[in-house]
Amino acid sequence: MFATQILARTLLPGQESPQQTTSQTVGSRLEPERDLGIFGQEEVLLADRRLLLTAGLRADRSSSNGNPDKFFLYPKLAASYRFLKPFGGVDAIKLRGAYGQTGNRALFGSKYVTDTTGTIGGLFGTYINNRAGDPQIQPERQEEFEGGIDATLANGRAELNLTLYQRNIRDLILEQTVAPSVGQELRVFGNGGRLRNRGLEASLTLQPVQSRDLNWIFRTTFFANRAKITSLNVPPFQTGGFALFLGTYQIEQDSSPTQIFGTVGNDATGNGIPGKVGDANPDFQMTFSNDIDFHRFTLGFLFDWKHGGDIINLTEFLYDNGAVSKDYTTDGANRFNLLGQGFTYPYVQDGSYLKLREVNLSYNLPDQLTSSLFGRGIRYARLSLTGRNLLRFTPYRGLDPEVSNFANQAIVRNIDVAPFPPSRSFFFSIDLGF
Amino acid sequence: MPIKLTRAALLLAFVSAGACNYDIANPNSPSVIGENPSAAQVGAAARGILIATRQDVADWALDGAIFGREAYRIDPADPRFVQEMMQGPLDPGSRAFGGDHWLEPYSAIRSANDLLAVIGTASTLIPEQQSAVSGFAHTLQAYNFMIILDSHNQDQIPIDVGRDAGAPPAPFVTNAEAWAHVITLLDQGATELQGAAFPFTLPPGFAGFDSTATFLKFNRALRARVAVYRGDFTGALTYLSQSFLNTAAPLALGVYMDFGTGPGDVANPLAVSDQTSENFGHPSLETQAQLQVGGALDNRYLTKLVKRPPRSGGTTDTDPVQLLTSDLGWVRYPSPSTPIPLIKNEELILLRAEASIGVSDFVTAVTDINTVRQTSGGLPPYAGVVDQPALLAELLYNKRYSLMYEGGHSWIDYRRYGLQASLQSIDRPGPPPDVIFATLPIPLSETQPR
Repeated sequence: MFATQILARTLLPGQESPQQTTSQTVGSRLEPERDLGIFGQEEVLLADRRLLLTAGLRADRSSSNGNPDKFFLYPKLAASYRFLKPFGGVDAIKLRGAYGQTGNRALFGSKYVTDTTGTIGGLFGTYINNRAGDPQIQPERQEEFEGGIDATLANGRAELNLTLYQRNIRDLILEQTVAPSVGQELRVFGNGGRLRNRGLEASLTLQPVQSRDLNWIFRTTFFANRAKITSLNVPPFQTGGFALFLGTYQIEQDSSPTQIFGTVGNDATGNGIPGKVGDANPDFQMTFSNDIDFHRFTLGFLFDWKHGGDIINLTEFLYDNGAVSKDYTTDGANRFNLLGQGFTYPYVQDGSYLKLREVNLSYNLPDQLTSSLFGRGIRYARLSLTGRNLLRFTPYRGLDPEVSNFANQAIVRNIDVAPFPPSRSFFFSIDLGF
Repeated sequence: MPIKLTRAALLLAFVSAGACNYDIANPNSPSVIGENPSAAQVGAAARGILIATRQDVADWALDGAIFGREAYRIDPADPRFVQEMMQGPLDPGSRAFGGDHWLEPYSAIRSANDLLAVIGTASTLIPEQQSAVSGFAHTLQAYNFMIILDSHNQDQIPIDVGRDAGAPPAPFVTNAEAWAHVITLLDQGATELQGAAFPFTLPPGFAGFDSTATFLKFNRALRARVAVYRGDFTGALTYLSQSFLNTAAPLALGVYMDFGTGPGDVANPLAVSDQTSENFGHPSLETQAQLQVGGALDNRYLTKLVKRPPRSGGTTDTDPVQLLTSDLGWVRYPSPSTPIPLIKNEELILLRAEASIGVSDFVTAVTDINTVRQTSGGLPPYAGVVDQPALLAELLYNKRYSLMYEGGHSWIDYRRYGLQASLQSIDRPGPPPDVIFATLPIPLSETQPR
């Protein structure tokens, strides 16, 4: 079935039906796809159940591919070995290694080269679509190497996980801005290049206190990723944002795919000189969570820390332009003048933050009180108070460094244009168990 | 050694695999027009060129009016209409500002090329009909190249349009070569328009110009405009005589780009509130308007602009005295279905006046200027000095008031005579001062892939 939307103009006051309007425009879109995947996997447990080997193979075909009859094969292999009590204070250590391939198939419509349609004076017409598809498009192939170590220490009171990975994506599917003299703006194409991601993930769980009355669990995670376009089969191009001088993303070889480009001054004719002014990718991210049980009370709180990662702050640009930013007389006018001289950097700002994401305090009612209040059928009752987005520490001058006006797109995130800010919320809840 | 085999599921998800068709056509859009198109497909593709052309018509009318100091757009949500368009620098990486008036005309030219490539194989059309379609397509290609060249009058531009999006971009040719190409397209179109009727219906904006014979007059009108722009005044007078120029006909007679609120149609984006919208008239249109007998301002000013609450905009300077301000609202396009003229009788009469000045036929020039002054402006006959500079100034005044907000005419006309400075009486002196740009830069998306 076609999903349908109706755009109606000049609704009569008090009416809700699109039929009560002077004109209606129907929009509808259908995205039929047919996929077939065949998957086989074998696991072998060896060496006194200490060595686990896994091998698998997956074959996919899809109507979204340029060749809908072709099966694409993706193998995977994994091995892990456990050492039990290798030395004092260590309960177990597991070494892991894995290799696998996966496919990212093209979005619907990427393979079609079409016209688009319109109406003029009540008459139908067709003209070239703004976006060119690639009839030969193939899925991206992602190859991942991963190695890691898991350790359990001090009779289970500490646990450490460490993972290093490298992901190589081949045959990148890209949407490229093309020279408009072809009559089109964008071109989707496969086999566009290669992207490399390298990263480190670590987590540590500790139980500093473990007793009948008091139990405290502390968890922290660390995550860092570096991406680089290792080859690009087209000339560098820009994507996202509003204009070069207001910050945009530039895709080019041997660079991060999230690098922010702007102008770094004007040339002799007054045109902006393009240059790198930042990168949206954070240096690293960490979380810290604590769960503390004390008698019938449970207290939990979570901190998020992001270090680095730039944001294009166009909200401040709009305020500066209106001369209404709160620091207009001290800094705002200066920022705006710098932009006028062709410098984007005053509006590309550090998006680091430390946030108290959530605090949760709950209380389990004593059994007697529960049954006297709610009757015998109730097994337990818990009262809890939760606050979200409570504290924020950031050098960022916008409302909130966690911003994206263009949803969570892979590349064009981190653009701040007068967004709706995240709310601070409080919840009081009563949970009853039957 | 104990070996435990875990036999994981071997999943064969064949859902009646034989019956499945994996070759799915796109149900949302038609494919690009192919070999042996039907008459209906040809008609849709021909009107599609108009729809593609329309993408830039209103935008060009607004931007051209800002560059030519006929309008301000004081938009608190996007200061670039003031900052970038009036002070600069023009950003070639900005799709809607410094980098504008490029993609949309090229998309129309490309759409026309796609039709031209297969029109010869349309077996349901007789050769004369195929030729008429080609003439239509070539004429509209010329119109779109004119928008590109009028807005990029110092740039080299590509003229080989429609290469595969993955292929290297087409080479640039000089501005003069590109104008020669426009002339070739118009003359080729004129030759092709000699034959049978169009095998399709044209929208209401082409009423009176929807047969090959009358569409040819539109083609010749554009040819005359090109000739005047290129300084070929003798040629222009010939082409004007072949156009629909008629001093006895309504001045508004002409070819219009339709807008509408019907299903799938596009409303005229310039049809916005004259009291509260972001679009303003330039104050000089009031201060420079000539007087009718009795003291009222030029009727063209009175019918196209009204007073509204003033608004100021642009804050490069901290001194508020230097901000630009306007209290004029546009009523030029009162309804979302008001069309925007592509070329009209009033312009043709003024083009003949201009060409006559160019060949020193001042009598015809004064007669034509007076036709427009009196009919359109309600002004008394021209009583000033009759020599080339004075008549030229009077002509430019009349083109400004007759064609304001219709496609950058003030910008183009004053620029051609090196008189742009006279348009800039009351903008911001700066520093840095506002400027009237000579040309838009070539968009970054066009230069970068090279």
